[in-house]
Amino acid sequence: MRTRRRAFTLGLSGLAGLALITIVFQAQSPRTGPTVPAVAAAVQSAQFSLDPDTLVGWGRGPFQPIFFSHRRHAGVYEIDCLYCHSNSDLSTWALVPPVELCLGCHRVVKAASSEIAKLRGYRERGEPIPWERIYELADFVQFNHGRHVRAEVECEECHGKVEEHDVLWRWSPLTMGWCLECHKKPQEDEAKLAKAERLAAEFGAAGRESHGLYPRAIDSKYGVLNGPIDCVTCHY
Amino acid sequence: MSGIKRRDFLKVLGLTGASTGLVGCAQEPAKKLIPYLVQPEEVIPGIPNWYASVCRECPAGCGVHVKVREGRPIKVEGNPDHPLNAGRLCARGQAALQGLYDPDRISGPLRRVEGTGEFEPTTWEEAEALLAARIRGLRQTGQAERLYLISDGAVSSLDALFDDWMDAVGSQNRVIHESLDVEPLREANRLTFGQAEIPRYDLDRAELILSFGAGFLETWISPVQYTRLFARSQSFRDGRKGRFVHMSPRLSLTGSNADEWVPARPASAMLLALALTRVLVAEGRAGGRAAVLRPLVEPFTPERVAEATGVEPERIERLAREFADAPASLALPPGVEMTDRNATATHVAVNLLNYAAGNIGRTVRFGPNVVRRRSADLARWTDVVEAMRSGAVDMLLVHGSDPVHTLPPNLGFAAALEDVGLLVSFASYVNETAARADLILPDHTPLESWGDHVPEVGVHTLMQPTSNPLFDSKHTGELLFSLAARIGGNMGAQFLWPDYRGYLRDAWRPVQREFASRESFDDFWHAAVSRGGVWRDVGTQPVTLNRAVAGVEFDEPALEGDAAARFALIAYPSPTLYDGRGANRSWLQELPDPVTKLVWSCWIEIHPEVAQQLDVRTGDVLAVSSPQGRLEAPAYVYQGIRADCVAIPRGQCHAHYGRWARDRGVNPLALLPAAADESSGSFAWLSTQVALAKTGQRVRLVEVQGSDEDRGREIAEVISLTAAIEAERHAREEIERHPEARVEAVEDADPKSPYRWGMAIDLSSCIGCSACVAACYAENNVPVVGEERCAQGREMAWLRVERYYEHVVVEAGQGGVQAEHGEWEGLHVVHIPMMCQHCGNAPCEPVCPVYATYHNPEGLNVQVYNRCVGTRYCSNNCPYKARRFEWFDYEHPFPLNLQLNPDVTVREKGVMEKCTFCVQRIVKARNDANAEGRDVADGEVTPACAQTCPAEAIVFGNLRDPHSRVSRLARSGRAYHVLGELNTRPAVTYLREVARVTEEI
Repeated sequence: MRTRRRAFTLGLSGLAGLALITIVFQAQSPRTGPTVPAVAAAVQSAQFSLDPDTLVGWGRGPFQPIFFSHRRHAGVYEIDCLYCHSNSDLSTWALVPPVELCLGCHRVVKAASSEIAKLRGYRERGEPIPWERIYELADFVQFNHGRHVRAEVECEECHGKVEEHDVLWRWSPLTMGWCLECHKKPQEDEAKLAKAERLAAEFGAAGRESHGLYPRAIDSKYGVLNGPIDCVTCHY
Repeated sequence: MSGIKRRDFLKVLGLTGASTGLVGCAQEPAKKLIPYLVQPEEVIPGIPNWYASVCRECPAGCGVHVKVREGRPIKVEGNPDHPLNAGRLCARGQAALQGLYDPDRISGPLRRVEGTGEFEPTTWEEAEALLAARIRGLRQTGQAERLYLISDGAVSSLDALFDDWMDAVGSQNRVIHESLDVEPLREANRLTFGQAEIPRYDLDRAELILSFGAGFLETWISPVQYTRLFARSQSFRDGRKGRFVHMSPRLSLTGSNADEWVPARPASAMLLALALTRVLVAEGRAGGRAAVLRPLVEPFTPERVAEATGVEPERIERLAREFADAPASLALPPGVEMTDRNATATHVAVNLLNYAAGNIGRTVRFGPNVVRRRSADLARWTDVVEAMRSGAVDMLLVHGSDPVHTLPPNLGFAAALEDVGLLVSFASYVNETAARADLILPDHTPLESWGDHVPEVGVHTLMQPTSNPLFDSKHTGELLFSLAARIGGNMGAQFLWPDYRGYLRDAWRPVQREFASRESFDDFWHAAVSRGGVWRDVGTQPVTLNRAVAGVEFDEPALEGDAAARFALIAYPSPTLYDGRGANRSWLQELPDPVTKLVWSCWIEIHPEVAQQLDVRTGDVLAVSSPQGRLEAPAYVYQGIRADCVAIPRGQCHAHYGRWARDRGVNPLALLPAAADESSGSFAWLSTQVALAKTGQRVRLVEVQGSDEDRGREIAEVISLTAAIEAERHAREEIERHPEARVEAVEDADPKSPYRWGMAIDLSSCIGCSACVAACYAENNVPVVGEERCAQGREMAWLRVERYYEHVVVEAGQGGVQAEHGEWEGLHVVHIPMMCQHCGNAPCEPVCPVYATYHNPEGLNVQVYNRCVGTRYCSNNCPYKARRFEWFDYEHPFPLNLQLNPDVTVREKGVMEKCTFCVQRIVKARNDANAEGRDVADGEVTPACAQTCPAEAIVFGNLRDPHSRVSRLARSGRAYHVLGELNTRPAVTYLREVARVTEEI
């Protein structure tokens, strides 16, 4: 009997939790539904008086150790992505700014904020910020971030309009089909095609008809493509 | 109660709970994203940094570049600017990473628990206080002499610091221990030329190399440098090829590259060299030098030495004429393992031969000498052991060597350690010496240290840390500073450097004055650190024959042993494990011995005739006994050893050291008496005859190669020089006629692709050292599977070096020479690196039910791990046995996991894998090229195997480019495809081995 009662109590508290979730996310139409950490986020948010109703993305992404708003930084203040995520155009990885870089501005800007105090806390303790990871690929995928930035793929094509979001969530499915959707598209950009043609003409004499078209366009079967669709492009 | 029933409520709850959970899982990120606190200026995560340093795996001191990703060294490559190795590295150098990431490394200072064999952690503070107090005590009672220090023979600032520090303490008792010392050579040079030095051997200029057994392509002095130079003169290039004659009782890895093997009797090199010299003198081929030489060599006629050397007089005469007639020749002495009781005289004899042929100053050059401290001789060691026994050694410090393992056990060093007051080891691992220590104060490994090294006159190289110390270790130099401060007195003021870097900078001020006196020191220092050091050419120093040479007595060295002992014991350093220091590197244990192709083991090489007499096969356990000891090990029947010799590799037989080294094999030194070469005092390795007996037991010896012969399948092909010249001439004419013509394999790629990747491997360059295999392990996260799994044929090496015995015969009258299998006479060994051939018509591809393996537009045969379901059909259908299946999830025990290359997937159980042509390097080069709007240039992509190959035998590139190196080689007259008759259309072209047989001299 006792175990049954306990189950009942548990059930009740579960229901209560569910109700809370429903209340918190009533105003929004979540893409994939609320998450457990979102509950914690909602509770936490009360502590620094942020109104979830006005925060874009609230509840879709994980609760981060510091409440950092991309809308504020990239949207309102129009800070370039590569200012913080520097070298993301060179490295195979997209890079997260070091804590010292945040403090570069925030020693002065908004220094009184409770969130910046947290930031300073991490710096003083010599502890890195344990950001929740949002975009992650399987170990057998060798994705080169810099290559995509250099190929002029816009950030928002994969990450969504982060400048409109306070809380980030995984905007793209990161499935292979989704990657290939873009790679498989015929190359339509006039400028890129023209550049490729020009290079091809320049090097054509050397007997390399496809020079410069590679690998933005490779396939004799598929013609000029946006990106290579060869498995070994990502899997090795 | 109306509404929901309790049971229904629970159902609903269960459902919602599950769905919330599911959604949570889908959305919740799996990991944290950890940024830097303060990003180091030079680090961009995801992009490797390269640091120049020095390889300290053996005394040669090759320059290295260390690839560091996010603070972790992940690959070691040769420093292309370095004068010794010019970008190349051997297998042991590649495995230096496993020294840094050894899972059995000591994680902090250890102290012996009184009266037990156990260690307990201690603090640096405590350990230093203890040590300083003991030393202070010794000094106060005027007994500083009772402090001894054993260290290796490298000439470096640390070595100088040891000298200064010991002087300051007041002890003269430094003992230099280099287990593979070349003191007889040094002594012989003093006697012959008045130069107690180790000269430069210009193997690249020598048309004829006559070796008396030195393992110069494996362990002797500076193997990578020698291999590089050797390949220049001895591989087939531009219609020319030198000749290499190996005159030694055993066909070592080095010997296996010989055009002619003269299986001379053991310890007969001296007589042979003298007889050769005598022929030169007698036939007037020694020019004006004959007069001095005549009295020395007069008695040693070829007829007289024929019996003792086992070489017919005619052959000696022929070789002598060949030696004198060659445009440039070079005689190399017997190696370390052939050091007998009269080794110095033997070296003198070889010197005389070189002198007679006029090689001194031409291929043997004094001036750019090898720099190494004189290693303690046997007499010195006997004194030290005696002092230890009598209790005259209060403290013994051991740095950079493992004397318990590398000294002959019959010297009694290990037992005498019992009587040492305090034994302190600075080892990074619990090696045999450290295991007996009272205090282990672990030094940083070389990849974590500041340091320097002078390998050669005029070459000063710098080491810089490539990683933060992984564990609580301390640079021994800094420890000495700290101890000095604690000891106080005159020492307190003498060693005031805050860290070793500061000391090193000061130690380098004289170097700056020598090399760049006009630059500021900081400019000089930064340039030197980033380049890996400074070096300059050193001129040849003329030498003359020393009068003292007349006093050298050429006594024939006798081998010890009673009548039953019929076999001379050759205890040779392992080409992979060196003197044993590589034994806990799993790559090196799993790397097949280049000669026997055995892994993870120790064996006794015996001649087939002996095997027949004893009725043993490979794997039968033999008992080997000498007056000094007896040991048992499995037999390995080897055609490349004389019937009156047995050979046992050194390197195994550790009771400690680590999980991979422990309890494996035997130590042949246990059979040897503590005997020395008379003049140099160096330990005599070749001094004893042993008896063999069959024990009746049998063990499994794990051999990764199934057959010694290719059984007519033309896997490894050899042609004679004549045939090679002919074939090459035809090919050149063909290329001139059709300069833009491409090889067939070019078609096997997408017509729009500018690339068809291919490889060419010149077998006439390849010496079989297997550096490529180790490099492949390091680059591609190839797992080590262990002895058990190797025995089941489940080794994972993507690249292996196969070794075949071929028989070269000359077909009279045709000018053509072809390879044929036959009798053992004229044995020719071919080493052939074998990996995925990236076939244009790959048998593995059509049988894969899930398209996990396919041909990509650039001609690569690609394996997609995430698609593979592990049917293994591909592997069954591969004629090259190039595919490996992950039968298990193999471990990379911490910290070895830190070595894994982040650019290559770590495969898991159930997946097929194989050589990718280092596709990660191709992708990188293509990305770089694309960023600049151009094609990948020739030479821009170098797979790990080609990068490290000391003989430069492997060339990789784009076959679509008719002017690339690989295209030219693919159209060479010597080109062939292994199993090409199967119409696999491989992308790997082999260039036939060229043998310059006796008839073609």
